[in-house]
Amino acid sequence: MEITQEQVKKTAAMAKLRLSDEEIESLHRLLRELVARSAGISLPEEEASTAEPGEAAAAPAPFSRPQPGLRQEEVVALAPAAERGFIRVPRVMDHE
Amino acid sequence: MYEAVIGLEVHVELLTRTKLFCRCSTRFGAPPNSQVCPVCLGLPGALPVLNGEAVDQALKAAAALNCRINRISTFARKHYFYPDQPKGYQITQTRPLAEGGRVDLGAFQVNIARLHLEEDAGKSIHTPECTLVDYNRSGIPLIEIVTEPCLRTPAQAREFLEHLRLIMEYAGISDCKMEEGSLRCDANISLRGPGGSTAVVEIKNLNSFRAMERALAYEIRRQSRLLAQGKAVAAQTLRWDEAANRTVVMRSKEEAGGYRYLPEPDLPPLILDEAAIARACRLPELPLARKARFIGAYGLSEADALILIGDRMLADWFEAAVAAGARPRPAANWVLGEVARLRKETRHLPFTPADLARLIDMTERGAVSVAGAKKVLAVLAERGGDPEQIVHSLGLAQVSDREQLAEVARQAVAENPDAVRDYRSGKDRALRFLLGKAMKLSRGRANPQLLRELVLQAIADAERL
Ligand SMILES: [Zn+2]
Repeated sequence: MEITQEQVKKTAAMAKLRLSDEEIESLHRLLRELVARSAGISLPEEEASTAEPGEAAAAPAPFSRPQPGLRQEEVVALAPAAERGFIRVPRVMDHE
Repeated sequence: MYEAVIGLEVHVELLTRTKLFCRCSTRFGAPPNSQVCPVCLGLPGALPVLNGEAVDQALKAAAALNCRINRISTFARKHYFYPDQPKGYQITQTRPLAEGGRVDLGAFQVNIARLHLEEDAGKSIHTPECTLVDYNRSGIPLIEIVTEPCLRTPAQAREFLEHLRLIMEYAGISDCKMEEGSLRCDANISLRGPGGSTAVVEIKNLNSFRAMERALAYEIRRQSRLLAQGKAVAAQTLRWDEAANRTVVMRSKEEAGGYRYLPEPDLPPLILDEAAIARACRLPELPLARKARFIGAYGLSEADALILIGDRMLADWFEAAVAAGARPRPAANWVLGEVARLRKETRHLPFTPADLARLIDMTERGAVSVAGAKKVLAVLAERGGDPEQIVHSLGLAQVSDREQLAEVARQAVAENPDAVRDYRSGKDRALRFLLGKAMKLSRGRANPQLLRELVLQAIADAERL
């Protein structure tokens, strides 16, 4: 698969990143290298088709009781802004 | 003329104690961001572990929808950027858990294309200044059910969705509360005519059965009008605006490539053994089977059976009353009438199906009138108690004793010779007058049918004298 500059621009747009021409240039080079290196690696989906039950299966966790995770104060402390326990972000519109 | 081609994508939150890939609680209504951990917040280094309870629930759903279960299914990352998605991708399935299902609704059939597991996103609250995000919902297990575009009318789409909700509820897979977002629906719609089909339009945010039906009807009108004007229908994602009663454009539909699906490297394929699949196929009785049983075993009408199965609590009530000895048909009438009405008024019922069975038995023995029994039920709904005692304390006990009532009837006839004469000369109103007098003599407690019979008898007897 060949990575084009157009694909880099499109991906950046979807990720809401504004890139300079130099950044597009260097990311384009990096992505091409990455794709070339990973070309030889087989994907889990292909392995799965030949897998047998019990081997390399995702052993689902047995039913478990809920466990406490992070406290609300810890969560909001991770965020740049918070309000009444919610994470506060710039207003997101449905219409883009 | 054009025909609508409608397909649905339904998201159902599974009833599990913990989230899909972590052990956070799934309880609804907790304070914001209080049921989260590094996994469902997408913090660096956190690894997902698949929840077996969610797999079992999804398998049950697949079996209930007559799907073919895939022995091997795989997880993938669906990328998109939105504040409710902390990882920047949602874990979903590319090779789905199940495919090729079917739901038979009698008048029409709905084919299920696929059913797969995925995680829910957080919840966003939009204010005029900012967006507030709560990640408690992030990572809650969902199944996505995709139908083939085999629905033809908004009414069919609604009927299917309502039936799907019932199936999920009966099988204990989800509570399917649309108002809490545990059942959500998107629809795809296009029009097909002699000249071909229009582009497919997706409608999101159909958060009630009524909204879905109205949004689809609106789109059919809108697209028909465009076609009549010789204009094309754009492939768009629309949102139903309930207040404005119309669809509005969200964004140009992203093609699948836009999500850059990648195999999830942190989760191996899900491989099911025969035992897990067999376990999933042991389902409780589903709505249509229950309806058939209500008609077959209890002799209920199709209409009554349909209403009863549509409200599981009422259906359970009905069966419990029958088990407590009530005859099925009166039990169904009482449950669909008075019990349903009282539940709506009081939200909770402090009396039992056995109380209802005893009350029905009393009306059938003539110990209390139907009107009296309704008063008793109202008292039971208010404060509970013993039906027989309430009948007595309200003075509602009905006299069905033949001797006693015959005496009352004779007295009424003897005391009102004018009315008796009027009745004989063909004035029907005179009988009503005599019945009223007799009922008064019984202090309003006489069994009306029996009293009428005995008053007529007393008139006939008086004639012979
Ligand atoms: Zn978590």
